[in-house]
Amino acid sequence: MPRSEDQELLLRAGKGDRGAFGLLVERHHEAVVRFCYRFLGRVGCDAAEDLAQDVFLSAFKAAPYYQPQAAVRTWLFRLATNACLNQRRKWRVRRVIGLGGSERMEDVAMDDSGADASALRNEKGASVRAAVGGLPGGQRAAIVLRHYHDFSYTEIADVLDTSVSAVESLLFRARRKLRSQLPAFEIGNSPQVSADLRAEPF
Amino acid sequence: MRCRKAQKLIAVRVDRALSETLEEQVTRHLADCRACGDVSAQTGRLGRELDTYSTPPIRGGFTERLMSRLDEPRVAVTVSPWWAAVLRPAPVVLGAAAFACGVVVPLLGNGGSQIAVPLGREVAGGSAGQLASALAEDSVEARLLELLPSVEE
Ligand SMILES: [Zn+2]
Repeated sequence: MPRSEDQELLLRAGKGDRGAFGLLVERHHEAVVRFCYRFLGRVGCDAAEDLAQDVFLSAFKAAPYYQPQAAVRTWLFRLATNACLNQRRKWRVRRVIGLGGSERMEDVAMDDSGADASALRNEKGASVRAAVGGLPGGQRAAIVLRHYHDFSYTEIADVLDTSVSAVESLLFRARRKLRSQLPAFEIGNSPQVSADLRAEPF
Repeated sequence: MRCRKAQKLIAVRVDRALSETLEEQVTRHLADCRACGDVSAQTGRLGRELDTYSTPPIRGGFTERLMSRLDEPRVAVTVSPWWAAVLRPAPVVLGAAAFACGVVVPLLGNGGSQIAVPLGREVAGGSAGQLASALAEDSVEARLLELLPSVEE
């Protein structure tokens, strides 16, 4: 199979070609920043961008080990997912053991004065943001990749290192939970979920 | 078709086309089942709700900033030294001790079956060992994180 342009760039980056790496970053950084922003939840754009920088620094280090069977986009988003999960775990560890630190979610949360103000003022967007941020990691990654980045089930499975049927299940649970969290779907408007689905042990 | 199957297919149908036969079966089921009809309508509506979550504009110069950092030694995270926690009030010390004893670990996970993508894991065919050392972070937190279960929240 012929290699994609992305793959050629990443292979060249793996051999130390910084120009090639720069082109790759230019192509993918916006998507990675947006992914981090949505995955991390209640943080400002700067925190998401910082993490995206770390993702690409890791990508540059890992580039020599890249093997071109995998799509570059999938490879990058796996690094990004790892980084986001680790970041959230770090915040959680700090909260639990009281190490504190400036990276706590609350400390980097958006305020009304920043570039995120419009998102905050958009009440609907804010409730979706909170609901997506409240999903468990796997579900959150699946819904963000599917809905906002248009990844196929197979691509999501590759990113999360799982099966396509597991992705179906993650998306199903994510959507069910989002419906239960969003004001637009409050009780009274909620559909009856099949009893055997409710009982299904996930 | 039972509601269970119909509702699973309704969820899949949002993302990709079903086969003609399945599409026909779902459509027939929806014509007769109000509950699944509601689920179908609300699934479509959820997509529109999700669209309202936009991201703020991204600052320019991302690539330039990154390229200037490629030679930076990777200092993972700045954390207080371990002894700083010992000097803090008792609850913190107890928390740290409990963590060290593995008491906190069960409290951290909720027993959910999350996908975990460990950092050192094989990435797209790269060897796990190579990557693990390539991406290893020499920090207190990285070591603490190794103690955490591979579930999130
Ligand atoms: Zn039904």
